[in-house]
Amino acid sequence: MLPKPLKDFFSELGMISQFGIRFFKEGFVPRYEFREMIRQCYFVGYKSLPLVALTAFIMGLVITIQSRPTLVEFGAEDWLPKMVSVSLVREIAPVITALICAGKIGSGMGAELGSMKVTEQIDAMEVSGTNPFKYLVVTRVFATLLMIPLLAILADAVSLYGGYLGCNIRGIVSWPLYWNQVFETLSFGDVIPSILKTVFFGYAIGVIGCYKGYYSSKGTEGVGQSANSAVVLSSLMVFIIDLVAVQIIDILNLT
Amino acid sequence: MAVKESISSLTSTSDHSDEVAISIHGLNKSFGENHVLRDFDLDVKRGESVAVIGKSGSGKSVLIKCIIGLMYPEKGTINVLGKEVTKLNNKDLDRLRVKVAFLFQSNALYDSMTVRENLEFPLRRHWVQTTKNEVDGLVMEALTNVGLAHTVEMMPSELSGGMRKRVALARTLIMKPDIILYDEPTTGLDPITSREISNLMVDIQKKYNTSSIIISHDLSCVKITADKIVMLIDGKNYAEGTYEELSKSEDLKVKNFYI
Repeated sequence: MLPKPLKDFFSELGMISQFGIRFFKEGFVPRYEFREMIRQCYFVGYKSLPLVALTAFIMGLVITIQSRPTLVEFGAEDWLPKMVSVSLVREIAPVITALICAGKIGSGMGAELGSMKVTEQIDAMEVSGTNPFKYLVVTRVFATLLMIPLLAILADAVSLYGGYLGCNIRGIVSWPLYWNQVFETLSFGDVIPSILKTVFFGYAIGVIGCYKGYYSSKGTEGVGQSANSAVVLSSLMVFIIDLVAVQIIDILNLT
Repeated sequence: MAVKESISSLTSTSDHSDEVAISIHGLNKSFGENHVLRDFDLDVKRGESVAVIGKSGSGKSVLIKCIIGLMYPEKGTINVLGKEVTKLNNKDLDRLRVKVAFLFQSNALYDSMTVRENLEFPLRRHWVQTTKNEVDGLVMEALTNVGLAHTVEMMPSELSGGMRKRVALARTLIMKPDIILYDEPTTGLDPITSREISNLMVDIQKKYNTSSIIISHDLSCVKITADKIVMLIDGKNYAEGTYEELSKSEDLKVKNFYI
């Protein structure tokens, strides 16, 4: 017999899985909500762009500065661009992008849908001849599915630029030399799997954020709880997906 | 005129010769062990306003949510404009919802849309074939009916509680419904605004000859708006009559509402 909290956790996981499967069932049959989807892409992608770019830039800069002393100790300072580019592109940029989106978008979706639920706006939508799942959930999950990989690509580029500045704080690495070393090191085996996993990050963030809001209860208190648990659960799910993705990439020897 | 025709084409499925707009029989609905409706019966004639009153948690809101198909009963029949709601598929339910409007307790105005977009939403979603000018005309007509034409470009957050209620009422009118279901239309409003909303409901009923079910605790609203009052007690239609008839009742449970 499982303890109650564990039982509740698995029960919720089952409900979220059902919710995620419903996305595929309803997302690919008409009526398509293109207008709302584009609006959501704007909010998820364009509105998160400055935050993701700034964070990625700082991460690139900081990782480079922090890695330098160890490489200097082994006389391998020349390897700095190579080492930093691999860690940024394979791991840091996609995961940081996903975590920022889990915080910003996941909580936003949880709170927005939660407040729509408690103020009966979702019921009003249904009465107005609209399938609220399609209009609210499918559009948002599509938006995170599409936009988070694009944001991750942007984060890769900006963090590498941050790495270039980091290399030049204590040493001198020319612009062509830096990029030459970066592209010499990186292969499609580094870039493609890391972008592919952001698709799954996007799906998880969208589904969890929407699920928490869509089934929000207990009035306004429930809205806060929905936003909070959407962030916690989707951040956790990002790490779990990352762990699984790394294992798969390793087993298939993709790098 | 073209707009009215295109809306009426969506509403042409109902049998207009039928006198009864809503007929509910033997309705049962429970949430776990809590049986909120037990063999509830109600008939609403065309053009009639029926108020359903009862204690909080007695199942009044559940009742009208069952009528519009937002909830499903365990047992019983709900016949609305000749259609059995519990047996309709989603498409037919949407067609029926063109003719049945719902005023939510919390108004349920979409926060991210302007007043105009809120009113246009049901028109766009129900596939009513109208030009932009016709849509504008319908929006302005509905807003003029509630005396808020000047708020058309405002956001719901810029409106007072009474104005929001009026805009929500305008949204229910935009499809020119045959039936309006009011869920606590005057809750949270001051007595003056509450009376204004009640008078507005009466004006709308007279102007469009709508049938309505009004869920309310507010006896002054019920007195103004209802032709008939139904008391929902212990999940059943406990007492039924006009305001005056029930006010003279010697039954303790009925009297309690009038104290």
